[in-house]
This record gives sequence, structure tokens and C-alpha cells, in this order.
Amino acid sequence: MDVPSASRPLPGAITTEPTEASGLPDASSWPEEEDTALMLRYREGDMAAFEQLYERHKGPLYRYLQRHCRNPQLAADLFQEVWSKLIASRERYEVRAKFTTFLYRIAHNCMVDQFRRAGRQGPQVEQDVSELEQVLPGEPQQQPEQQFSQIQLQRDLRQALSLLPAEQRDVFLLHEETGLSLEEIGEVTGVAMETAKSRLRYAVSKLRAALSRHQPAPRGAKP
Amino acid sequence: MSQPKEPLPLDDAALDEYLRGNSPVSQQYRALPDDLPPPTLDRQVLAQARAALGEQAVMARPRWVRWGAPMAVAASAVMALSIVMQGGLQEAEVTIPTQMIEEAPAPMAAPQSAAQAPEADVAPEQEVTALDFGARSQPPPPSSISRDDLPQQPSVQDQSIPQNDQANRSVMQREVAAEKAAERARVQSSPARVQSAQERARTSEMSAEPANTASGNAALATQSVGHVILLPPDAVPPPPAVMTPSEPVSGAAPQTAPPPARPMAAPAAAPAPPPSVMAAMPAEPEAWLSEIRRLRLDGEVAAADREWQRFRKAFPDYAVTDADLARPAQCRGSC
Repeated sequence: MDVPSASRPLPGAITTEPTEASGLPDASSWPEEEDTALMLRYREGDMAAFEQLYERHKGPLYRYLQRHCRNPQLAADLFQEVWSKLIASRERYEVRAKFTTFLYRIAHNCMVDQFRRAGRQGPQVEQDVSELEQVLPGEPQQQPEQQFSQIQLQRDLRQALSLLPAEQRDVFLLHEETGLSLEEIGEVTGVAMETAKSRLRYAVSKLRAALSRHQPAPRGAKP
Repeated sequence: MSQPKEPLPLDDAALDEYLRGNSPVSQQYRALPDDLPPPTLDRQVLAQARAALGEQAVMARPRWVRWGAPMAVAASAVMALSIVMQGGLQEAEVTIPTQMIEEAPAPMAAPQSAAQAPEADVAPEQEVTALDFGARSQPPPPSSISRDDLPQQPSVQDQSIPQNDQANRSVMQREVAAEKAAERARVQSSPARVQSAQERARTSEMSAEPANTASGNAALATQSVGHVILLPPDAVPPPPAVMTPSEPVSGAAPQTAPPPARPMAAPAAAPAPPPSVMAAMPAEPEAWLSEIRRLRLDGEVAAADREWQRFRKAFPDYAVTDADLARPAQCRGSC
């Protein structure tokens, strides 16, 4: 059973859920059609179409790669490799699937190849906390305690994410960054939809456990 | 020892809630700052996409337009190479005949000397005439020179010369040799050279025995074979365009005059002139007169009279003594 994903405000996020399920306006059809049209226009030589396409997908794709391999330099290399392959394959591009599925299948394959080249070591799990703090500055108007709490939350989330198995992290990141359905995630990762669903189930459960101390206390609970 | 517990997977309700985007995990994840690729990476990707479109535009041009410039360059290179090679071949054609003239006679020297060997018995005192000198210094090239006769030339250009060019070259070589021989013949037949030849002829004629008979004339002719024939300068025909090969001199010289086409042929090839021709040759008056006087003293009156009449025809105004006039006055009625 495929559970439709929620529509998300992230750029490039596309969902196939029916309008009745989320109650949000149906924005799932035109962006994907627009992505496909942009890719077709770029295939015909329209550079502006590619710029628009790139602007829409560069953030989610970069975050997916960076948070998956946890190495900014490696993420940049993979990012460029993915777009290079997309550019090279523009002549063969056909509208048989969603553009997002096409793009992230390339990204997934590039990352798998990278893991194989690295000797099946998997993504790097270490992360410098100081680097994390540079990346995640708190808002100036926040109180120091709130800023500290926010930094702690983000650090715990990143750490919990890095501790996930690669397959579970891959499914979680694909869902969070792209909004793909479980079926599409299975298509991207090359597994069945039930497998993707199981991986996602475990991933969310672990993350929830890791972030439990940051969860607001339920109503009626004693402090 | 207890290991950390693996949390239980989400149930379907919790998973549905997460998939709707309402779970705290999703909210906390979205609270992470938006990491974006660095601007340099953006520029690289966009430049790569733009370059790919540029290549696509190039590839979209017609094939003849795409191959036009390379084909033009290749055609120019081939043309320049052919011009250079043509120039090299022409240089080889200029240099190779000279080598052939200098080196080719080596295998032909043996048969020529063998052909001239019998002459040595017949005319040991043969002198070299103008044409003979030219011919010996530069013997005529063989009619066809095979590549085996020539020394091996390592030049690639020479090896690439077709057989047709070889034939043309041998003809050209023959013409060059003939021209050189004709030039030397002209030098040899200059007045001073003819004068010395006349002197030698006269000396031999004077030293010869009285030769009124055919055998005497033949002997005289045989002895004088190889001398330049004393003809007036205007009577010397131009040299032949192509030099004919020498013919061996036989002991029996033909009695008839040689054909006019080959008067200046090499002495080995030219037959000896008959005595009548030798007698008809006008010499200096005094020498002629002394010959007439000698005939008279020898008692050959008829011959002396004939010579006198011819002398008069040749030199009608030449002043002679009375002794020389005596016999013609006597025979004027009977001769």
C-alpha cells in the first residue's frame, strides 16, 4: 500500500498525492510538467530553461548528497558529476517518468559508485561539531538558551542521521528533500516499494528516538 | 551487559502521520538551514551546460560545413606536398642524366674496344678526328639503359621514376651527347685546324709513291684514312642530329664517294675517299705546280697535263713560269 506523501514547500518537491488527502491546492502536476518541459527545452538548446531547472533542483540535490555522504568536498564532486551526466544524457531524455525521479536516480547511482570506489566503506560518519556550529548560526534575536537548544537539536539530528544505515538514510533523505512517494523512492533506489517503506519506517523510528529529548512534552505530563 | 535497544519501527498510523509531513521529525529536519552549493560550483555546472549546447550547435551544422575546414586544410597540404615532390623529381631528372653519362659507359666500353680491336691491325696510325674525338671523350649512350646497369641509387625519388621516364631520359641523354659532339666538331673544324690537316694531307700526298693506278690511290686513301677531308668550309655539312655508331674500318676502302649525309662521320666509319677526289682537291698553287713538275720529270706527261689543266681551272690568273707553260702549249692541240 502506497501512502501518499505530503506536499512540501521545498523547491522541486513534487507529490502525487491527491488533492483531497492533503487539502492543499493541487501543485503536483504543473511543476513536474514544467520540469519536463524545461528539460525538453534545454535539449533543444534553450540555456535559460536549464538555468531555471538548475535553480529549482540544485538545493535539494546538494543537501541530499551532502547529508548522505557527509563530506562537503565529496558532495560537491558528486553534485557536479550528477549534473554532468544529466547534461550528457539530454539527447536521450524521454518523458517516461518524472524528471525528479530521473535526476535522483542519477544521483543515487553516482553515490553508489562512489561508495564502491571508496571500498565499500560507506559514507563518512564523523562530523566536526565546530563546523556544524558555523553552518548553523542562531538567529540574533533568539535568546542564548534558545540558540543553544536549536544548535543542539540540529547537531543531534545530523548525528542521528549519520548513524542511520545508508539505505535507511537514503530513503529518508529522498523523501524529505524531494517529496517522492514510496513507490518512486523504490524506483530511484532500485528496490520494491515495500522495501523502501520498511526502510523509511526504521529510519523515522530511530530519528524520533534520537531526538526524543528535544520533543515537547505531551500535554498533561509532569515536568 | 545490555546492549542499547533498537527502537521499534513505526506503526502504520505513525508512518502515515510522518508521510503527511506533520511529524516532529520532519519539522525538525526542515528546521535545518538550507545548504546550497557554492557559487563556484554553480558557475561550473552552468558553464558545462552552456558548453554542451555549443558543441550541440556545432554538431547540428551540416556535415559538409563541419568537414569543410579540415578538408580544405588537407587539400592544401596534399597540394603543397605534391608541388614539393614534383620539384624534387625535376631535380632528380636534371641530375640523373649527368650521372648516367658519367657512369653508364663503363659496361659499354668493353664491346666498343672489342669492335675497334681489328682496326688497330688495319690502321695503326689512326688519328683522332673531330667527331671521333668527341665521340671518344663522350661515347654515345646505349640505346636503352637498364636499371641494373646503373649504380644503385638509394633515392626514393629515383626508384619511383617510371620506365617511361627512363626511356625519355635515354633519348635526352643521346641528344645531349650529340650536341656536345657537334660542338666539338665545330671547334675541330675551325680554319686553323683545317689548315693543319691540309698540311698533313699534303705531306702524305707528297711522300706517297706515284699513284696513278687504282691500287696506288687506294693505298693513298688507306694511308690517309682518319684525316680530315679537305673540303671548303662552306661545303662542310652540319653535324647530324644523332650521332651514328662507329663502323670498323676495313682494308678495302670503297671506291665510291661516301654519301653526302655522312661526310663528317667518324674516320672509323667513313670509307676512304677515292684518289680522284684526292687529286681534285685544290692545294696551294706552288705545291700543285711542284707536283706537276714532278710528274713531268717522272715522264708521266699525260697525268701532268691533266693536272695542269685542272690547275689552270682552279687558278686561272696565277702567274707561272714558262717552263710550266711549255707542255700545255704543246698539247693544246692534241689534248
